[in-house]
Amino acid sequence: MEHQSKETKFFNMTLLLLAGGAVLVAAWDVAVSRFRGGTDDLFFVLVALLVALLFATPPILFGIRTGWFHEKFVIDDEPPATEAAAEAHAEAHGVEGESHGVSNRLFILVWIALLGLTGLEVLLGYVQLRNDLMLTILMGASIIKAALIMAYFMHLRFERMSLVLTVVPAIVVCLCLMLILFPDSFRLFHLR
Amino acid sequence: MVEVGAHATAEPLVGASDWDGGALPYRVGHKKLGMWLFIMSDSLTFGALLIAYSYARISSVAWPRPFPFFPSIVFSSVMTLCLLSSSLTMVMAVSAAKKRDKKRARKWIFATMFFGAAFVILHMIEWGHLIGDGLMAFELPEEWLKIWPGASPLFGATFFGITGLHMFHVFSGLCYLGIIALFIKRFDDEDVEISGLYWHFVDLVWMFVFPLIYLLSIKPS
Repeated sequence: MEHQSKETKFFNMTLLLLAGGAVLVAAWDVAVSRFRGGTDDLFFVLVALLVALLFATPPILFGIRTGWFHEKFVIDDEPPATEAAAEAHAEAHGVEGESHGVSNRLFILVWIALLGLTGLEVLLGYVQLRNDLMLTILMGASIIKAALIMAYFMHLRFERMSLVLTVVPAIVVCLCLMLILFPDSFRLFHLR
Repeated sequence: MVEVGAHATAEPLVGASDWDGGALPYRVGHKKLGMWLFIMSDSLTFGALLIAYSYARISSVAWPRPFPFFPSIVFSSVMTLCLLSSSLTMVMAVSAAKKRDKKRARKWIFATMFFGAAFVILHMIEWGHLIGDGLMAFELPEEWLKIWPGASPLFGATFFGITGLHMFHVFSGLCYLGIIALFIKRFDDEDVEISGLYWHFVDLVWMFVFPLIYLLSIKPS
């Protein structure tokens, strides 16, 4: 850990403390309310855990980057499973030339994956499912699609980690803050 | 601190780490960073609209599910295909521009614009079907009210509002890409890449609009 300057250490420790605090808040809510509040508690716990994850991400990434995890727990560098991953892997770790070195095959594979997920979604629309289950699956597929587009088409996977950390967590936190109002919509129906 | 991006182009840095005042902390130009910030704010606009739509839908007594397999679902699926394909051709345009091959980049951008224009035209036809049924911004057709009694008239407002704003984004993207393609000699490869970022963002938003608006409102058979 000779690379770790004092500021970095302070930064990481503060973030870890905040993450721990968020986990404690979630645990406290579960212990006190035992989900009597229904969706309110569910949302609260989910948001608290998400905030904890976001706070914990920079220290964890820092640990991975500096090889701290490799020292503590020996993790073998597994060879990338698919060819697409192999290409991406080579891209991310290799030299970046004028063409950014990503082959067009990788993008075509991503495109096929996106089409497949879309087809799956349309198919799901014609399977009779419960509304909430349907919504969960659709949103899950959409988030995967959005992540694929951002990572490969928008090139975010090949940018610096600092740009990713500036863009992605801010959007996620803001959207979650908007969602905090959401449980009211279930209540509004009974208030009339 | 260890250097993060071994793959990033080597820029002269003032300090050793990002926090010590690196000259380019994100290793992207200011224009690209600006586009990313715009995309962040725009995604919040669409996020707010989609959340407002879901809120209105849940708190309503009834919500119409009016989209039949043909034309609505077929049209919207083909539109999704168009947008995804346009993203792929845009990626090709960016990679051609990176190789300093401006002629091929221009051709790929025109292909992107073709798919984008197809999206807008198909969407206009699809709107025409619904307006022909009698759907207005704050008014539902009579037949729909018979099938879904007490259905919220907000359906039209959310539908036209969200898809309309998205269509406006596609349209402005077409203008943006057109300018880039026409005057491609004056732009460098980063400008093409930035226009690509915007185009992919429009695609990304549709990936949320399509399931939430269309697939959750498929007409029960």
